[in-house]
Amino acid sequence: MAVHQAATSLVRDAKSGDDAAFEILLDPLLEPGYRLACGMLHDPDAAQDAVQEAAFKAWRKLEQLRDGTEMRPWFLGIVANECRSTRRSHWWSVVKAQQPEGTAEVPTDAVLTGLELRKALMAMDAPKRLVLVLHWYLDLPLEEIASVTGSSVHAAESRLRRSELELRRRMEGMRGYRA
Amino acid sequence: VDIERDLRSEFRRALAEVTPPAPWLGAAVREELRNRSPKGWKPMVRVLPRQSSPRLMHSPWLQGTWRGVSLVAGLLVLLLVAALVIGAHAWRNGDFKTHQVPAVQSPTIKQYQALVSADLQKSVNVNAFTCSNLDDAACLPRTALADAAEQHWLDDLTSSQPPARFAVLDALMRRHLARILSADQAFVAAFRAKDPTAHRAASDVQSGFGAVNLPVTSEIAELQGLAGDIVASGQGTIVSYTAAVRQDKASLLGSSGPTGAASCAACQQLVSSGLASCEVGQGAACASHIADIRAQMEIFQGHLVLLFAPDSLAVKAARLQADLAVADPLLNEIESALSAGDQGGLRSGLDALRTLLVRVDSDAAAIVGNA
Repeated sequence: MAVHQAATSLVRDAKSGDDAAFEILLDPLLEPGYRLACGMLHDPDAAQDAVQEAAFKAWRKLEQLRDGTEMRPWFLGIVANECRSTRRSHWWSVVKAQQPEGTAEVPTDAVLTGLELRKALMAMDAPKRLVLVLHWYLDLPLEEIASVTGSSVHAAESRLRRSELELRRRMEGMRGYRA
Repeated sequence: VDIERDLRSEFRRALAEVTPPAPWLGAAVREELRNRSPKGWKPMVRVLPRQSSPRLMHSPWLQGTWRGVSLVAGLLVLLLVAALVIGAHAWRNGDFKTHQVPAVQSPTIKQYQALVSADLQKSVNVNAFTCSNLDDAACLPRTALADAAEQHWLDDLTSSQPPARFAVLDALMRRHLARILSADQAFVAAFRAKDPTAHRAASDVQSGFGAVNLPVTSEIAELQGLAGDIVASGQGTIVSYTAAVRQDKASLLGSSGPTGAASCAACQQLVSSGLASCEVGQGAACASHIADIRAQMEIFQGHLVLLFAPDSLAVKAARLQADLAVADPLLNEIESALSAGDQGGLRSGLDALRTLLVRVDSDAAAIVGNA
């Protein structure tokens, strides 16, 4: 409770123009924001750019943060939007180019598995990839995933399940086997 | 559980490879913020310096030339504005983002997936707006555009015979489309009547910590979810298929959902003790529970298309799908009985639904036991 009150007080200070308060709020969010951006873009340089841009947009849009709203899902939502807008055209081209046909060779080591997984992940559309990264890479609970994606908890869970199934099937397709 | 854990650890390892440590990130962001956000910073409006001196502009020759240039520039501006208006209209229609895929009477699986994919993308594009303000003049035109896309989608489905694999989801999508169109009619009427409760959004409207779930919102979400299942449909292995069925079985009648969230409480309540909310006088709560059961059954059906059975499990999978397919007409009957106040019809419908849920659970157990 005390932590929440302190955060609320910091948000109020930041909204009134206290840059130091904003930096205190932002600091612990940069690492999850960077991991989210890396998970979405698979490109550390682009991820850093996305986080920097998101931080700037968060500063500009701080007035829009409703009182009582948690800062982390709000900021991660901005990072996710930044990732989407910077690489939208690329995503579409990847989605179209990588339909799984089940013709790849069976991987034999973790490196290949990692490559396959990233390839399968990049072939998925952005909303599905986002919930997977939030849940499996950032360990966010469903309630927070729902806040980041602007949906209900039920909708977030439903999307997560569908995304998991699709990822699993795409990976199996790339491995080219049918058990 | 092991499969889940394996995939999760593979996922973490794969993404860790593209996430090198960035200890300088905090300092870089702070520096960037300081550079870009000095006190009183406002978006910079660039004012171009005048290119010509006033004395030169008084030359008659130059004045004539300047008038011609001004005329051409004016025409260009008009053309640009017209192009922007037409472009914005086409963009809202989704014409730039989707390819028109003609409906074919008996499409192949790929043709049908392409058709659904195009209609889905268009639906996503035109539904990306929220109307929660009665003064928003764009609400009704946007709703009309969304309805045009939904009607087009419905027409596409009606004029095509879906491949057998997608027949059940095809019927479910048509029902969602009809409900979206109907909910939008109600929204438009409420908006025109200046009803302050008139809202329309394709995703849940955030309100503080919670979300306002609107009828049209859940219909759109379920429609787009099912369409996504069709577009990404592919065959699973025994391992992945049984894992998926196990999770949906747990969501339906298990103690908790696969991601740890609450599963279908209404399904469990119906099977264990009956739905108390469907006794006389609790219409809204009963309708909500029926909707929950319907949503859970639809999600299960969608997953079985997204990841369809390997050949060795095809017979058992067909039995499960056939039983799940009975749910939709049965739920329609239950809803009709509820809205008509037919308590006898409601009770017999719920009895049949309870039997069906148990049978679906048993079908799923036969598949899971195979693993």
